[in-house]
Amino acid sequence: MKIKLLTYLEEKENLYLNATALLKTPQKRTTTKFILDTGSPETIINYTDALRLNIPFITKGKIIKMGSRKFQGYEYGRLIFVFLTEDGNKVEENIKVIILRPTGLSEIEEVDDIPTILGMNFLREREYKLFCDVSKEIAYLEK
Amino acid sequence: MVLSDLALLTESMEDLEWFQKYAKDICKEHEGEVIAIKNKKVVASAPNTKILFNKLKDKGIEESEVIIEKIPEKNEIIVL
Repeated sequence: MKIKLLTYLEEKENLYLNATALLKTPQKRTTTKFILDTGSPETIINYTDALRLNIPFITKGKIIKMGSRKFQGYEYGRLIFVFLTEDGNKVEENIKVIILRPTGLSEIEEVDDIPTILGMNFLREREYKLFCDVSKEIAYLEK
Repeated sequence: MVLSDLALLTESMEDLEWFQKYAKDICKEHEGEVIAIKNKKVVASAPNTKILFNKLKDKGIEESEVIIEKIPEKNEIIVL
């Protein structure tokens, strides 16, 4: 089973592995675009996506450092990612995620600039392999 | 009409591919803005997400069924 990834954003020079997914909590669902980031050990949910899903900020997790900035992460364990497979079906995967919460109004846009990131923990815990040939614009997750 | 998960997911992937196909023109028009895409159209744009959601609400568009794109300023890239 393969999950197709697109290999660029906006223009072909902007190389990112990305696709859409449906994020589901027991109460709500929302569409989102995610970036697969092999430089991120954790899966992170964009602040706007968390608001759209009404995810509560209850369980403090790791401090997430991005560049020179540090953000407080909150853990959420009941999120389901729904992906579109290459044969037109869907596959659901539950994974613990981290949400970054702004500490004040001035931090909202800064935190919200961070997209939803599918991190390396997803590949390890859900046992996906990543295939990527950017020059041919082919990329997918396979299990 | 409530779309099934699969229908919504398929639609959102088509919208993302549509955006990438026409990104050059869309980015030029909406530089520095946040846009919402649905059914292969930019259905709303705003300087920030809060205003975007208000616009979607005014138009009766469900905020959870759009793809949101932050259009970077010219010559700006995101490094995670």
